[in-house]
Amino acid sequence: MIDERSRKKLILQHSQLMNAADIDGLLGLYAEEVSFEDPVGADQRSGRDALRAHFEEFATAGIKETIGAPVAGQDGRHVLAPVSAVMDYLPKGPKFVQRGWLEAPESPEGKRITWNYVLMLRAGKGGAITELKALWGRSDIAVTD
Amino acid sequence: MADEATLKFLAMEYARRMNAGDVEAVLELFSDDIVFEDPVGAPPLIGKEALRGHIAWSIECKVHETPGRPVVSMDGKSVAVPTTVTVYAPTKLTFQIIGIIELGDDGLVHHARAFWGITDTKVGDGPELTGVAHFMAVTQNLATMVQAKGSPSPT
Repeated sequence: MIDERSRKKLILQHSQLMNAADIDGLLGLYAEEVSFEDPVGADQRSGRDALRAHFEEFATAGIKETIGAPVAGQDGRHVLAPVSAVMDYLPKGPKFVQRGWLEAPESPEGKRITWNYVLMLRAGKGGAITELKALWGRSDIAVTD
Repeated sequence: MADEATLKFLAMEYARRMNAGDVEAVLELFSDDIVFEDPVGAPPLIGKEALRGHIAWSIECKVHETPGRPVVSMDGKSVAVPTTVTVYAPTKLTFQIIGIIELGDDGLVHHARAFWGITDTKVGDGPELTGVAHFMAVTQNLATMVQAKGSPSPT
């Protein structure tokens, strides 16, 4: 069990490393056994390699997260925060379109994706992240200029 | 599975009914087998009668909820909303929470989780306390709230 302030630091650091496209740093926050669901209700995946590939796509798209005030669970495990984010339409956009999550723009040139989600991390006993969940639906994501 | 607008409306409707102080109207949103975790980490309340006591108590503590922007899950089952919750009695306490509710096929809430920690709680309107002083103030005031449970309304 790690205390509330440590978990809040953890989620803020997660966002900073994502914005810095520091994938090694990001993976360094995670345990050996990881699972992730992004978005919740669509894909449950596991393993550090899959997670690395997932983060690399966001980094390629130049994602910038703006994280709100985190809250901590009294279970000694969870920390959550509301996030708004923006990234280039490519490379994730066409995959989102294929899944029916987003309307395809006429031209992907210069387009960006904006969205809102709640990020939920679960930390293990030693403080490393064992699970990531991001809650967002079709109405939480949009293509913008 | 509900559409996303319905899920988001439901989250707002819960706050509206809590603020209106209407226990029965709040309970109408929940299934008989509701599992209600508030806060996550404490033993859950199970069933509508257990929940009735909790909602009535919150309303007696003059609860007011100000929801932020809701987001949903891709399967149309869950909605999450960051919310500022203030109780005004017996003492003023403000909680920053993230609530997540899950709907069943009947359109009722079957599982509700309120995530908030001791560090997400503020006592009164005075200067922000930190460290041990904050922890002590919060836990004492939460204990006062619990002691007020079942006793006559403080007003």
